[in-house]
Amino acid sequence: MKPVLIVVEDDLSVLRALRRLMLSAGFRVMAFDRPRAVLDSELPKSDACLVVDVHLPEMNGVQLCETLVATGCQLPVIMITGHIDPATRELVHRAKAVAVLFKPFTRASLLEAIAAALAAGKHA
Amino acid sequence: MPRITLSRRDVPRRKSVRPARALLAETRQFEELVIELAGAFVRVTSDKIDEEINLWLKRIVLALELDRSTIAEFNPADGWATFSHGWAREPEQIIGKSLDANTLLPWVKRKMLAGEMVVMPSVDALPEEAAVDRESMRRHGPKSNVMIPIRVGGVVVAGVGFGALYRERSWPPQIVRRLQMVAEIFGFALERKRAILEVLQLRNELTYISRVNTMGELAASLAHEINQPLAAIRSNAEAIQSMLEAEVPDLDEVKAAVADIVSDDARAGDTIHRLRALFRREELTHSELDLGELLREVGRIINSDAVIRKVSLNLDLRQPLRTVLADRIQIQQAIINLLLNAFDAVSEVQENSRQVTLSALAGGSSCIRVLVRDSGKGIAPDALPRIFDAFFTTKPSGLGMGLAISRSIVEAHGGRLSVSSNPGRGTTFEIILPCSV
Repeated sequence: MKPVLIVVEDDLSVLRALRRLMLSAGFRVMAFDRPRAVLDSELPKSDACLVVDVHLPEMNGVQLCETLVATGCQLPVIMITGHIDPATRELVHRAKAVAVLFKPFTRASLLEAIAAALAAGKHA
Repeated sequence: MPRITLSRRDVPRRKSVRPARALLAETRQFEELVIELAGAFVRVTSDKIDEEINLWLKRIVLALELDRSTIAEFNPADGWATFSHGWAREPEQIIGKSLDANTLLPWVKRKMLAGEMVVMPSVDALPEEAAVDRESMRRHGPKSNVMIPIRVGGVVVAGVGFGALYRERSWPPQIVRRLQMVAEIFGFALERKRAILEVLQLRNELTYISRVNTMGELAASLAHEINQPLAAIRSNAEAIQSMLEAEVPDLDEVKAAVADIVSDDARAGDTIHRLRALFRREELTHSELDLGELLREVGRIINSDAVIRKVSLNLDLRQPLRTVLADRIQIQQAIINLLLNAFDAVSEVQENSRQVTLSALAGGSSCIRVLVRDSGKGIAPDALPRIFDAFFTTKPSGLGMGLAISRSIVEAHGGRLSVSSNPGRGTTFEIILPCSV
């Protein structure tokens, strides 16, 4: 089975683009535009990783990851963000993500991060 | 006996007593006028000072049955005097005209600059050393005139003249003393105007600096807002590359990705376009504003919008308010943004409970509070801290710039914009502006 990428991004245009990019790279994709929808869904236990935007409505991406961890989710996380301010950097640092990508990022850097995350997930 | 004595005494007296009485009446009337003038100049706002001076020049001409009164400003560089204020019974363009005081009125000019007034019941009354002035007066000037120096900041900068063009008249000292008071009051008013202009210039510089700071904050938001479409464009483009490498490319998906690229490009361009307006350096024109009047004007501007959107807009401006020193257009813009926001907020509730209230009240002795209250559903607590951020919006069609602009305007005026919201019970935006000095 192909690995699953769980993308959480409130900018619908970015979400569609990431989904296309990931599908074209051969992954299965679960796309969410709101954190609550992620929490309400059945997520795979393994062979998957989260790609989470930092600034989201309802709760930020870091809070979402912390909530998922609290409910027993052990999937590796890649944070993505379009903000470059110090506050965002600090917030992202808290998330214990495998990788942080600053938008706009290349397909190569995304695939590299995904590979690293999936590998980290296997070792966990 | 006593009656005869009285009548005897009366006869020679009558001639002198009657004019004395008339003079007393004229003096008293004029005194009342000067008191009224003093009161008017205490109240006048700095942007109306010139208008007020012209109005009182006119009233003095009429009260003293003169023909013309003018203020001429001296230019120390070339010795010319330019009429800055004036009123004449016969319509003529006075203000803006100049005369060469060195050549035409050298003696009068010397007197004025030395701080001495010139009382000229008739042209012949001018002394021997004023021969040049006398000749000029005979040709161009009034038949009878009083000229009083005006000091601004301790220095004589102008002179005010009160003249009768066609007849000689006496200038009783009681009247002249009051004209001197008038000249002093004009001097204070002009001094105040000059001080305010200096403050405004300083403020313009400060406003620019604070706007530059605001732009710095905006730049962070701008980076994000541009990064989003750039990220989407890049991902779509690279997805298309992969999709086209497939044996059977999904052309519908490629088309969809291309369409998204086009719209994201437009989105990025739109952001730049919106911001360009903010980055322009525009001179603010501060003046002393009556906020009550400004808010009523805003109410008129926006009323038809309220009617169309079935919002009941209430103005609560009962309190008399002190003036604020502000750019009229910008403050209107800030308040209109808040009102349009409030209209959007109440559009979510039933038509008969769409209430928006605009009110203004004194906030202590040194500031004025302007409140925009709506009966909408309120703002979610998690959105509240971000509502003043540029590009933050809860509306499907919003640009997310209205509140950011309102806040930057208010802060550029040394004020504050804050919000309080009760979910389910509506939202109140509060602008606090400092009163003018």
